[in-house]
Amino acid sequence: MRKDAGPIVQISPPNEVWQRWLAECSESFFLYARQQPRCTADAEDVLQEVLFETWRKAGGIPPDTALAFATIRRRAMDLARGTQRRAIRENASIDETAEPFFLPEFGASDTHTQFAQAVGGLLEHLREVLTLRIWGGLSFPEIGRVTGVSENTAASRHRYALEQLRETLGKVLK
Amino acid sequence: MNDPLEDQLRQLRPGALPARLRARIATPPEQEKIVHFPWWKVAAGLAAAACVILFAWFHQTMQRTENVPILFTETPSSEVFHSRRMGVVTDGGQRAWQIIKVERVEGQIFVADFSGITVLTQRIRHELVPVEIHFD
Repeated sequence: MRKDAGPIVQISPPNEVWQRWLAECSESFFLYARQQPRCTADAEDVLQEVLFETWRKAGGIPPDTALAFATIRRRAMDLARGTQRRAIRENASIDETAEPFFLPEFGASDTHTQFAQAVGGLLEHLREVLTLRIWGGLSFPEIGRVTGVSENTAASRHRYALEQLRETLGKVLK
Repeated sequence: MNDPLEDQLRQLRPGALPARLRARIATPPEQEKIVHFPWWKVAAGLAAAACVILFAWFHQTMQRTENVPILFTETPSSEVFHSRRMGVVTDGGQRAWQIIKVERVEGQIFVADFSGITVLTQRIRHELVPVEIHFD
């Protein structure tokens, strides 16, 4: 063991850090992105742009998660303003070919499917807060900043979403 | 304290990224290279730009005040185009003058430079002309 050397600082190559960040966050980002433009192709474009943009702005390190969610939201809204895109989206408001929000699990009971369906059936603004809280891991103040509402509103939307899920999944939860 | 329902929800895994998207984001974006200029290069550039601006301004100013050589000057012309009697004044004795307002236009043509630039200058003059009245 070297006694004269200082502390060894191991610097991971950028590609490794990038892959680790994607492994940690990309699925929740994609889940959120898919809820915004309601079209998987648009969500992919938005997510790619946001991942690259936030990464570059952070100087090649994983950016703040809340910032990435906020950027996804903003980019999706910008995209929605485009008339051509809007027309396409109106024609296919519900993308039938879209993949499910949550991964089906082999061997999982019907409970899993019912949970996924119940979350998918929530109102948009409630599902948004729930997604950011549960799968995004954001705090209520952060959710408030991302969605442009107060911390209290974010908390109450989350509470209301859980209540609605309890009502929908009443029998399953018992 | 965590809501048990929240814990159950966390067990749901978000859908995986589509393969085409995974391929598009397989490698991190390249960082934009920030080019650093030494201060003396920036200062030299600014000084050069200032010199160019000053030169351009000076040259333009010089051109503006430059005199054009005149080759030919026509004899000035003068033409009365209006006259009006304004009144009569006397010196208190036997002499009297009627005052006439005369308006005339004076013009002169200059031919400048070999390019044949012709300049016509016109000036309108107003004059009060006393004309003595002779009584027969």
